[in-house]
Amino acid sequence: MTALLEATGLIRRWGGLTAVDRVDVSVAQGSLHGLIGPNGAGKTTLVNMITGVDRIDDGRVRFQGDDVTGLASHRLASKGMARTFQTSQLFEDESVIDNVMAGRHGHIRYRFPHTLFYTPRVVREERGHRTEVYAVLRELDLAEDAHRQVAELSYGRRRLVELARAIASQPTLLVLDEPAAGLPGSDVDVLGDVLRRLRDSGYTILVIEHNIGLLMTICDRMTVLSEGKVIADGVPAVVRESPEVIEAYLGRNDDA
Amino acid sequence: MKKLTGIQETAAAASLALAVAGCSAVGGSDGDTFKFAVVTEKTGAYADYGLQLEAGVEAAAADINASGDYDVEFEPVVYDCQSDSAICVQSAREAVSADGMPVVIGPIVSVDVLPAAEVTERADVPHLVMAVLNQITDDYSNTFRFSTQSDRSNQTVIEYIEAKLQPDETVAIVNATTDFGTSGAAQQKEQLSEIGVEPVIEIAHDPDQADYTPLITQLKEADPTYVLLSDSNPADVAKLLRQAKELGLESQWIGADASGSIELAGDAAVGYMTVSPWFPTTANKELTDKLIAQGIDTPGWISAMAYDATMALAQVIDENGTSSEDITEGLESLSFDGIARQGWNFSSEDRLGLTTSQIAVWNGTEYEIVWPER
Amino acid sequence: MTDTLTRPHSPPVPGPGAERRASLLATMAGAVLLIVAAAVPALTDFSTTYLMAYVLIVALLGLSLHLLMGLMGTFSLGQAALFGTGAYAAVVVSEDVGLDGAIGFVLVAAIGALLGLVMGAVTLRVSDLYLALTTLAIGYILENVVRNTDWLGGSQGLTGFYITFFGRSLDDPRLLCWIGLGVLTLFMIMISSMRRSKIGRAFMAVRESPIAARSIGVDARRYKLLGFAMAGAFSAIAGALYSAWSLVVNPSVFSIDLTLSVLAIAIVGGLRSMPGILVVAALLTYFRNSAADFGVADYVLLVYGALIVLSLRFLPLGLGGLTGSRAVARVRRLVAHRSRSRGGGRA
Repeated sequence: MTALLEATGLIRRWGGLTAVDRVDVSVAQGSLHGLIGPNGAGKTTLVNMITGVDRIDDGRVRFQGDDVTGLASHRLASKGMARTFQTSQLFEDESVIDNVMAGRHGHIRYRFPHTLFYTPRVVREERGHRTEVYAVLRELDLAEDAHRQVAELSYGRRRLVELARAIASQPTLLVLDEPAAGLPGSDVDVLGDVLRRLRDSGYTILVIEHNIGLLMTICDRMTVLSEGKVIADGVPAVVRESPEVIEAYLGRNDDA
Repeated sequence: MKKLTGIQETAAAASLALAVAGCSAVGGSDGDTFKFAVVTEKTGAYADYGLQLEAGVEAAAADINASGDYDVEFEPVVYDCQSDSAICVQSAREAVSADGMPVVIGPIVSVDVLPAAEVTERADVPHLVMAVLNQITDDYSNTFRFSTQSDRSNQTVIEYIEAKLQPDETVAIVNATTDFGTSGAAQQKEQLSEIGVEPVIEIAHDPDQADYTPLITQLKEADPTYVLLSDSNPADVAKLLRQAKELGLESQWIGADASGSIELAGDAAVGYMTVSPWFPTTANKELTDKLIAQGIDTPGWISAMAYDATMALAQVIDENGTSSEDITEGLESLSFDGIARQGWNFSSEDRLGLTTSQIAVWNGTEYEIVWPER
Repeated sequence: MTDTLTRPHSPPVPGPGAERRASLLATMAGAVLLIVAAAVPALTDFSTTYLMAYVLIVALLGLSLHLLMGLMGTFSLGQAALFGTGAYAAVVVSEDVGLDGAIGFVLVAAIGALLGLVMGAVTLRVSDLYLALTTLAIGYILENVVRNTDWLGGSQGLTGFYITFFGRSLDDPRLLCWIGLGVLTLFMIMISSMRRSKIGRAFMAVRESPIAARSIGVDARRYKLLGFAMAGAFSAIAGALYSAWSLVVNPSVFSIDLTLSVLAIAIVGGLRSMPGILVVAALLTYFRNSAADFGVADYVLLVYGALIVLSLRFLPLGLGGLTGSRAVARVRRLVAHRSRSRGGGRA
């Protein structure tokens, strides 16, 4: 299997502290890859570096075979890297479908002058993209809520809308930052099913979580971070047995 | 009777419409009363000045109506333009269009009166103004100034200096870095050079300062006999006078009229000279009392000038009539001696108003006129 | 534990058919309103027509805030800088260049857009309070430059100019009103079509979070510049109309007072609601102009302040937010549902 995303030797320093210390991550095409670690392990910093939000002090990132180190995040997005955030970034007073349509941004061809008077070209293109967005909504069981205001939805369904928005951009790599955060237990299982289904339909997914239980059951491969360093990498069954992981992560949470 | 043709019908309808519209107009004379517009800053930042203007007009109207010398009752219609130039424009429009006022007085502040004059000029309505800005009579053909234009006031100061300055004496110029201050100082400097006097020192200051020690120290070093001050901010003038007294500066200050500065400066204002078209002196007690009766504590030149303007207007309509054309015609040949000042002479070319100002010294209880000498 | 991910059972929401019907209804209502508004200047007197023109100018400024703050989430205090530039530009273009307003106003809009671009570029790296203060500072700088430029009339400003449109003088308030109405309608059409396109969604994405906007491929900087340029063009046109309205242009057109009163209108009306802004622009402008008649001229600022405080406290989305509130949404949905169950729409 070829690596869709390959980060090597990534370093990020904040003053004297090295938040991310020579980290290597390799996400294989078509896999569901988990990135875990306790709070403060540097997960979000690492993801921000990979997705062009944060600066990279040293190291390289290759995406689809190209060197994309230091590329701005909107450029990465147009290359097919989509991500979600820990906190909601939705337009609360707009409909679900309009929110998800925002994910189509990079695929819409009409330009600014067309939109000033809503030319037939805009109408035509919008209609086409809406059809595709409906398909995504159906896939995530959101179709019935398409014209509901986001503010009216439950927290869990709003997180699904965010996922839908990322999927709507037809990414080659989907990066999800703590998608299960704040969800009640029964929902976490539903989310796990959704992610597995997406992987099965061909998406490559990188999931960041501190909820180790979820990742253990759904991931093809996992990378474990602790204090900015990779302490384990491999299939969940192997990672689970790694003494470093048990000590750094599980060891402190015997009851988890 | 012949049947009306289409055109005649239209004309009849139009004249009927005009008649109806005429009924809604409140301005001008309906035989018994003469209504005219007073657009002024009754509220907002310039209310102190705007209320003076209103009081002057009201006092004059009361006198005119009480005298019984005129055929019509004078009724000022006051528009509060809230010290906002957009509202002053709108009020002037209401006055000359919807309300059909034949003449407009005010507002007082130049940023408000300029746009109002644009409105009255385009509507061919005569406009009585008190603003000291040259532009207000230079740029418009319908404005008549009832006050002294600022360069003439400065000229009065220079005439006083020319008469009083001894060979070993010197002059300093101090101004606030405002439009008023900067242009006043520039005029004074030019006028001084015409009489061959070079200021020993020129200081421009930001009028929001709290401490003037450096400025006063500079003045003490230069030690001028006279300090010519161009500053229209009363609080700032008071601060300068107080600190000059504390630091023992001996120079004679001569400043433009900034109403309220005397009260704010207290003892430090004793001996301070101001230049103004009018002062509430003992000799002016009668007029001063009339103005106070209209509800203002300390009448200033604005109210006195507004009083004279209204009296002049009464003479004009008495002699010429009450329409805008009549009033314009009358003002353009006006020769009138008012209560506040004598010698209001206008023509279509010269609508500048008074040619001179007066200088008075504050003695702690009242103003004493020191120039022109009697 | 409640399950929040799966869809709860609730009445279905209006589908695209109902949405289309609603927008058709809104368009028709807008057209009727426009016709009525266009008839007003022909039927009323000179000064009322002028007052209406002033309302339109204020509404245009309100629209530019709707775009910048409501859609794009940029808290700008630079409205007066753009407005003032438009006011001066209109006079210069008309008097010194000698262009008719029909062409001149396009040039004024371009100048406004250019200044908007500069404002956007200068504030590209700052946000929130710093952005607000920087845009405010640009207004101060322009005011000072104009005040010291003799060619622009210095502190007394420019007077005695005549602006024409298609060869007719804008001294005729009806013409001024109709042009204002036309421009306002044009801008409203532009904003609402933009809002339903990828541009509008990009603006909203930038509003929620520039970082998240980039992650869906929106070049946040480019859209910020675009938003500023458009707001600049709108505000400059408002300024140009103001020149024709006020007959005098002086440095006070750059003053913070103007920015703040428009801000008050936008906040009370609802930053995200065009109708809310229009209604409040009309009401507050009328109130401000007639405050003396109501005997409250001394308390105008107090009323403005109280309205802002009350609306921030009880109606954070302003009057316009009322139409989007849950109660209203529920009623609307019920109506749509009923019309659909009669066989009107499809899911």
